[in-house]
Amino acid sequence: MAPIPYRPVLAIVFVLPILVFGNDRFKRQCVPCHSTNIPDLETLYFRYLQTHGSTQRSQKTMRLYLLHPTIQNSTLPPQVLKGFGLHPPLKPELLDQTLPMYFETYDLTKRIKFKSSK
Amino acid sequence: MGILFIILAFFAYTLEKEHLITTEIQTMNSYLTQLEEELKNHHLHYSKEIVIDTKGYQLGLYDIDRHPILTQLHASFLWNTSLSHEGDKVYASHTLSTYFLGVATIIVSKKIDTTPIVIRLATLLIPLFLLMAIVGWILSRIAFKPALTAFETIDTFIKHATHDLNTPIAAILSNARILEEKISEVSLHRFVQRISIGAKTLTGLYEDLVYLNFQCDSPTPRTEEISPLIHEQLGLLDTLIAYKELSVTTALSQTKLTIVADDFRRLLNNLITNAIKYNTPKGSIFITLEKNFLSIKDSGIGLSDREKEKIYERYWRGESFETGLGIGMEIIVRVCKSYTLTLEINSTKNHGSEFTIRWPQSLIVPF
Repeated sequence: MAPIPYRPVLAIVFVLPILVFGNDRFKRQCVPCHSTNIPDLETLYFRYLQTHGSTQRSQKTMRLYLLHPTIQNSTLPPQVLKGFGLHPPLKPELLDQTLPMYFETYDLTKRIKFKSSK
Repeated sequence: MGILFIILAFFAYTLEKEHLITTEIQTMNSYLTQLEEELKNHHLHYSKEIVIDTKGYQLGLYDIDRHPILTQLHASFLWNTSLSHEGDKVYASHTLSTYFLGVATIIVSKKIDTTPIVIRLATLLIPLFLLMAIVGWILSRIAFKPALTAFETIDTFIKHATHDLNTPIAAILSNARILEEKISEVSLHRFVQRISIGAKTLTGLYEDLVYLNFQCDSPTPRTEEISPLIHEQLGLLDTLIAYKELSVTTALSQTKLTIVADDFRRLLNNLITNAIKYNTPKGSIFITLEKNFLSIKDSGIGLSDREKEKIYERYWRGESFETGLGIGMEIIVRVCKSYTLTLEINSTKNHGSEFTIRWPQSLIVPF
């Protein structure tokens, strides 16, 4: 009997629920608030990339801030934070589901294209 | 001159290529600065669609951890250097001070085309090489003209003289023979003998020159016994041998070879003549004929090591007052080559020489 390909099976069992539920929770719990009176999600995304230079570093820093929201852990300047206030702390489980979805939503690699005029 | 031109072409190519690379890198750097501005604009405007014109370059955008954001590059880039070229590919990189769109490093690459350089150098150097080759050839002709003229004059003279020598030599020989018979006074015989020697020497020279200059198609080789040919040549040269008072000892075993008799006559004549000419008065000659070889040994003036190398040169003659044109060895070598015979020379200055001719088994006719 041929061995069962374990990688696709693992992906279906573990990753698919995270994506499905993560997307759902991101849309329900993050987007509504950030659409109104606090910094826009896209602006934050660009700000983090500009400051930290990579998606991985940005995600790691954002996670630390959202777990322990202090001025020291924040990427935004203190004067900006004074205006908006600190983010309420979030649970790791929530961040595991929503943060990947957030970075996936604004992923720059999907926007950039090369073309040659020569 | 060819090697000089290759070196020159190589250096010119290297310099031109370096110049091309430098120019290309400058252009790439301008493009990189322009691209940074473009990324900044897209970043500040949160562009939904970012289209980057690569302008024919291969482009790579990398984050701070050197992970590709979007790249067309496959070659491994030397991250430690800002500028580089590898083979025919030129690279240029630019590190951004602010990470617009999360880009920390931009790398561009382009394959440089050296064909125009090669064409330009070829169109310049090939005509120059041809010109110099022609000038060199003309100059060498001018420089060697006296020597070439001298050689041509000698050859032309020999060719012309050869045609006209036969009849007078035959007349001299026949008349000398008649005189020898008719003159009763013994003291005059010596003078007639000298005339006869001179004429026979001229005959040998004539035959050698004809062989060298007017070689016709060789007749078919036949089975010939060698010892009668040796006796025949000794008989022809007896006047010379007697004049120098030489003693000739022969040890000839019965040997038959498949040859053209005239070729061997010429070979033997030259070998024996040399043994006589370069011998000392009252000297000795030993001729040994075995199944596989012939040896002619004399007690003459011998050859130095330098002379052993020079004897094969045309028109070279030993340190002798004897007559000859210096073509005897050339004839010997030519006959040896045509029958694949091997020639060995053992000679000691002032002690004599031994010329040994060995023939291949294929020439030997079994009894």
